Amino acid sequence: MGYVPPQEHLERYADVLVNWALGGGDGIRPGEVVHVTAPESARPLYIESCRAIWQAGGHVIGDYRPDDDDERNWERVFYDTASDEQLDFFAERYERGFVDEVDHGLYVMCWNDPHSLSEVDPARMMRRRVSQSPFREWLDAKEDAAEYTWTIGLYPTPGMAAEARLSIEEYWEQIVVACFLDDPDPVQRWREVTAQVEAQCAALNAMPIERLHVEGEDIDLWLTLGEKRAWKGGGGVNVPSFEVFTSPDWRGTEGRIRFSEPLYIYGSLIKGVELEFRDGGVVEARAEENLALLTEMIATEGADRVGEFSLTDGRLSRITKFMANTLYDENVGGPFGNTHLALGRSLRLCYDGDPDTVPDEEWERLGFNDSVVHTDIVSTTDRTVTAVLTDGTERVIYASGKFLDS
Amino acid sequence: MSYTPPQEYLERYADVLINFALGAGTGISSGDVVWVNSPENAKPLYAEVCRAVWRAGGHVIADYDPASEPGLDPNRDFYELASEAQLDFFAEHYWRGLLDQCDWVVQIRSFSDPHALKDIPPEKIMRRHQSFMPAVEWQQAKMSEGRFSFTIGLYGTEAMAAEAELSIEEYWQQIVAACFLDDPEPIARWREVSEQIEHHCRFLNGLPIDRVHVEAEGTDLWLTLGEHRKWIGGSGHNIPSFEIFTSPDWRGTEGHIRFSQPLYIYSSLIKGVELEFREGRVVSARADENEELLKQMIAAEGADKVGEFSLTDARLSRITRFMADTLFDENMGGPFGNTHLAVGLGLHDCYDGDEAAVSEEEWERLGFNQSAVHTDIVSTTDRTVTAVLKDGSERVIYVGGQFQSDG
Repeated sequence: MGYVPPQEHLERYADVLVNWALGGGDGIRPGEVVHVTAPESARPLYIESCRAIWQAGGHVIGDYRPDDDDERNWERVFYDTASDEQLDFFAERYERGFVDEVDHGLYVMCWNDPHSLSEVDPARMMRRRVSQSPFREWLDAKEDAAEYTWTIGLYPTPGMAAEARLSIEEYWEQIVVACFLDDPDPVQRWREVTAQVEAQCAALNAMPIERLHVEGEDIDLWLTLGEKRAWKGGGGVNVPSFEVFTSPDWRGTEGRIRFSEPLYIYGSLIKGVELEFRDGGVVEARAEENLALLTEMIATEGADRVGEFSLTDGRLSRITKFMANTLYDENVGGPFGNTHLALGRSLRLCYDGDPDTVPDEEWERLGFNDSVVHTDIVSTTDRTVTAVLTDGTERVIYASGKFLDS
Repeated sequence: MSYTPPQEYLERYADVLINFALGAGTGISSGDVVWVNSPENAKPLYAEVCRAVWRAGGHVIADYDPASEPGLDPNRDFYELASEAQLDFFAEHYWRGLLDQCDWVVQIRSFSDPHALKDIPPEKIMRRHQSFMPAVEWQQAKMSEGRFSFTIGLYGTEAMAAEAELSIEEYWQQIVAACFLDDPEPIARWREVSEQIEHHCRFLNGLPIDRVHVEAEGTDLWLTLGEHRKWIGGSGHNIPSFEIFTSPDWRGTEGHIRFSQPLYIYSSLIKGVELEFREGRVVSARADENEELLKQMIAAEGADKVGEFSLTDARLSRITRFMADTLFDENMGGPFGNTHLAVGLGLHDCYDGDEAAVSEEEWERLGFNQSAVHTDIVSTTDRTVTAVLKDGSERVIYVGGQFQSDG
């Protein structure tokens, strides 16, 4: 066993996840069923999460997974061995029962070896992902019906820290600071952050925004908000989360954007990503490293369209370092906060109303994108975001990493 | 990482489990769904079992559980924290879906700490087991229809070896020898064992047995076979398995039996078990050590009745050491083989006919016991087993650790 964080931090982390993040800021209730997913490397947090659930009177459906390691790279063996039929197999009855059973999902993100799948053909991984998509769709539907909530937390390994060129102690320190685990009452601190994020959302939602213009070095991008859009943030789906985001009408995206931060997908690093959009679709994708993987990802159905646009206020986020992980990097603070786009699936929670009542055709009419992919790509350079309101007036909403409240 | 057996042995063990044991010799078919259950301390075998399933064209439903480690033991934490409502919780939709989906289950038995639950009140553990009864019943029903089956293998850890007072190398040597993992073609060896087991079963099933009399030092026990019974063995449900067993009519058990081998239940060791039966029920349970736990186990519903009677021929089994684990101990060879009884759940596959056609009332009428418990207790002392046939004549079927099939 390698580095194990202090017990006090682990207990607070589990407390934040179980008693705040799940249930959209309310925590779980007695009798509720929580699906807990974690690999062996995250064993200490897995155990504390189970304990917190039991202490809260909940039930655990454990989804503990073997690490991929040098001797037994379990996932890799699957991809190396599986036929197309095996890649396409979806355990429908099992997954249906699973979805019917669970009230919450707690995912501990952690990799013993972040590159363990780097030699697997990405097309095979995507094929697998597509075959498993009903599971995700059923959970989405359950979430839309307010019968399911989920949260994600990060747990460090030496391999993850090395990716970010940090020591394991420095890496864990970012997690501790970002999640307020150094505070005796982290749940209280999260309530405060949520209040601030909600105030930023309220200010944005009060503006009749039609389009957004993002300008910066190597960035000149237009986005169209679309009808019935809401800006969202907080809520506990990710811990930590400081961002304010929406799901634009994908059809109205024009221009180009260069992302300063590297992107990880399928165990590989893609650096220097640049995208150009025309009529809502990616017409050109460039990268300094691993372009083929980026191109492959974008070739997935619906992955050439914008699913999310997000801004993080540099004053709110306590994340200051590149963590080589989307959960943190899409919430990075530092001198200019961050802006990120996601390619792929739109977020139905950004519908301004009850998403459960919206039929499929209406999602399509509103320009909410559908895809098995949702890939966030981040920029932390200085950007200015100007809103063009429905009456044609312009207003700068975000500059130098800060929301402009008045 | 502690001791890991040679890769060659792990691959052979997985091969035996997936391509021989499941399906009673046939192995799985392409497209079959296999639920693989293993704790993390058996990871090397778990990984090989998954690989064997994938190579055979099957699909894995993974059920990988955290190990018990001192101070970091979620298995223990649950019992310490759980309310009655949490002990009683049964994830019905989840289990329904799992059992509807799976064609097979492979269970890898392994304990990082055999005493992990030592101080947990056993009634809590039994209550938890009781809450899983619907899943047990669904599995039985699906098995009766011939649409689901299981196999169990053992993965040795340092702590398990210590429990048996063996080194980890000696412990694995028993596993390797018992499962023929030292043979380049263990499946061929298992087929030979199956043939010999079938030979003994044919002998026993050819006799119109009414009652069975077990005599040994400290033992004088009568069992009644009951209607529609058969002796079976070599089903592949356990690897290794050398035993031949049946599920008697629980109501006809009379007399007393002393078990020479210790018994593990709920992480605790019970030594010197003696049971006395009257009219099919345990009327007295004694033990030299941990008698209280024995009594609590027997107090569970249906756990005071016999669910199984089993004999192992010393010539078949390659297990020679006490392994402190039922899977091996109930198949022990040595000078006199072994006899064991299970209290609790009767085994529907010992019904001589189509199990799926048997109603609940009929199982009850036939004296097949129902229980959440199935606890095997083993004796390796020299025993003589005499069958009383329907015409009143007697025939010795087992003596000196050997079936009398040939003479």
